[in-house]
Amino acid sequence: MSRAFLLAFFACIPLVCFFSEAEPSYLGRGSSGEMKVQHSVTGSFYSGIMEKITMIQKNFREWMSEYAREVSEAKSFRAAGRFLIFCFGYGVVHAAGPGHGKILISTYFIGKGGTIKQALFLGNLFSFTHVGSAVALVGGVAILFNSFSMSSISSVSDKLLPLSYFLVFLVGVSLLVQTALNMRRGEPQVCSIPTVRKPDKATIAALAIGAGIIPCPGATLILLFTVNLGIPGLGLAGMVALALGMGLTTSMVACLTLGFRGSVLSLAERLSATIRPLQTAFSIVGAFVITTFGLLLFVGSI
Amino acid sequence: MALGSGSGLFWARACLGLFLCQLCCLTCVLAHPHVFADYSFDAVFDAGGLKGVEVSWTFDEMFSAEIIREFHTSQGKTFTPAETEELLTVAFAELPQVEYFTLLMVDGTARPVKQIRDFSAFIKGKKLCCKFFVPCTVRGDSKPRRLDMLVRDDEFFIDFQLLVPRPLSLQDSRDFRTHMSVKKDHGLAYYSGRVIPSVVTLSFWREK
Repeated sequence: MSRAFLLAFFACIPLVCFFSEAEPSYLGRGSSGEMKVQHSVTGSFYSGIMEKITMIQKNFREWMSEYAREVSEAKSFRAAGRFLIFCFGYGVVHAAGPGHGKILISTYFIGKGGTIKQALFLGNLFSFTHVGSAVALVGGVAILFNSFSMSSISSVSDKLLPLSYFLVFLVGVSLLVQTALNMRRGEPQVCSIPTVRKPDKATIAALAIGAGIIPCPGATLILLFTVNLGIPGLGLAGMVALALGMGLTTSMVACLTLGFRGSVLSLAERLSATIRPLQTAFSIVGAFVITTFGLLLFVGSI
Repeated sequence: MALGSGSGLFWARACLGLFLCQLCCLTCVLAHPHVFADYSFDAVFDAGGLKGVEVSWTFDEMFSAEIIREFHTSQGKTFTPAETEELLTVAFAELPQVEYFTLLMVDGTARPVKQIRDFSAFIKGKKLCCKFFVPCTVRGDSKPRRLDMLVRDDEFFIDFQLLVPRPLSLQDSRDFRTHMSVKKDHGLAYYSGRVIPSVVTLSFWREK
């Protein structure tokens, strides 16, 4: 595991170069509309990452559309397989972009710590809830309104936002209360690393479901597309592939967070007794961030 | 302070974690692109100068398929006036509030996009295309006038990308000299500064 982290760190160096590549600009003169291209170094590292992730998603969606149509028209197994592969890849890349609960999951593990197994559990449970919610939404609207219309689905989906944000807020409050009670009981503020804790499945499940209950619009659109092409079975299989891809990315983020937490606490143990309460600080800050996040989003959504 | 053996690996993990934290801090549980659209501009001139800009959008196939299925029941590739009206009032009802996602700046000053004209929707290939005209009168004289144009969704639900290699075309500009360029503008970054858009700049002036 340590070698893997080292390799990942050094892999980031060429990534920095890759995402900071030159951007073209176009110059033209006269009303002939003649265009010239000049290269200038622009953009920032993070916006470069966002741009690449977005472009890959766009391209994956184009291929998914193409293969879904091919399956619908020619019943091609090969196209179906490719559709599922691109669904998986789309899920991986889609979850790497903004959203998808990474900050909540990372904040939870910064505050509470945990095991790799818990990280995989939370990452995948969140992703499957997020995608499953989209499937339930499409199915529910179809049953209630006898329609697969995007307008009906959007109006129902919007009503779930306040519920999700409120659940996240409740999870944050619960974590704050737990931390306060632990401090009051005078429990040891530092655990040896790696941290081995009793699985807190209830909190993990609550966080995953609370954050993931908002139906993923991307999943909704893909499922609607396949249903309206007359291939709902492939659409549902695509949802599983999508959730697996998203779960992979989200779980990786959770695992990396655990690694970071472990490194910082290891430093705290070795350096000095005065920074031993760092673990308590992590717990408080983590719970506070989740609480504030949930509250702000809830207030903004009502 | 002795960190002992393995300190190199520790710092590698710590730095990786910091990198991860920075990435996570840049993201949030808000909307992110679920719809993709390419856009381009057509600057329309008259004898006095710039009359306005026609904005064109082309949406991705999946989103297009749903819109077409729900709103385009007639035959043919073009939405009828009734279908266009329904599209504007149902699917695109919030466009006026977001100024049609369009930003126009004349000599550095933003011109609000409150009204548009001639909104049309049609199908090209399997994709939905929308066009509309934004009135923007700019008088042309011997001193260059500058128009900056950009389409963006501040919530990043739709990812608008400039259509290359011809993001801008000109109509009836024979009385003017023009200069066009496209470049990233950090000052117009949106979505909490995470997306740096490509801005199309058109300069035009009347030949003496």
